[in-house]
Amino acid sequence: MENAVVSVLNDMAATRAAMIRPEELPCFGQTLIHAHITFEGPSSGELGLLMDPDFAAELASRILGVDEKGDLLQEMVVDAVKELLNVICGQFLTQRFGYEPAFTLGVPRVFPLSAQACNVLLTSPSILIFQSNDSIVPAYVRVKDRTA
Amino acid sequence: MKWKILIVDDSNVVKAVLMKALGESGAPIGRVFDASNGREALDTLRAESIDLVFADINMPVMNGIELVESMADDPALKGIPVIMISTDGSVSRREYLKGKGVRAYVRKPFTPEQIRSVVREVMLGR
Repeated sequence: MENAVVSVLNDMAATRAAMIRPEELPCFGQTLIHAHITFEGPSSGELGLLMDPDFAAELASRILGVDEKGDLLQEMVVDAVKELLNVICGQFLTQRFGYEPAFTLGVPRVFPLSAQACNVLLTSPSILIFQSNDSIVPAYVRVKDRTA
Repeated sequence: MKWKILIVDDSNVVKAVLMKALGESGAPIGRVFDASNGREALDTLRAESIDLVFADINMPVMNGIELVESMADDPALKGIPVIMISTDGSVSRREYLKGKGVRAYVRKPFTPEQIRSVVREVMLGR
């Protein structure tokens, strides 16, 4: 998961992303954007990304090659975050399961998450914390094996 | 002659990035059509004389695999070159799509150079 998030953020959005230690995670005080996707195949599961709306707009402007993030429609920002998660999920599945199995990805969803709900979610053991440019981007992946 | 291109993806961001890459490719790009799923794409393919299709796999309503299968079953559409652009890394799925006539496969995230290269390879054979 670490490689998938870092490589996609860096390659697709030209950021400087790296995983950081969980103890460096701040307590969020604002509503964040929660992007979520599911996958089905030899194993099923879900991935998620959390980010503040301003960073989402920055990512969209970088992906689209637009100079001013304020010029982007909210619809395009949401679309960019969905696509980013879609690509991260594809990269993660290849890195985790190899090139042979075929997976079906769900349609990514993006929705607001209150600071309170976010801070609860961040206590989950499956949370990984990334820093991309100056922003903190928590992420998680949960895999359910069919045989389990 | 300029090529008429159809981009099939449910993401407006991917469509925008792909259109930009095509515009910078130096290829003779004419009108670019777009569709958000396979069903919309089939409507456009039957109404317009399309020279090249870029298609995603994971889309709502009708996905890219179903689109390629429908094109392969339609004598009027089966000769139109299709380039798949997807996050999907499965080799078995790539082989299946190749058997259905897909000419090339580009993994997301793609670069403008990859788009230029694959368009030249598919349309010009180099």
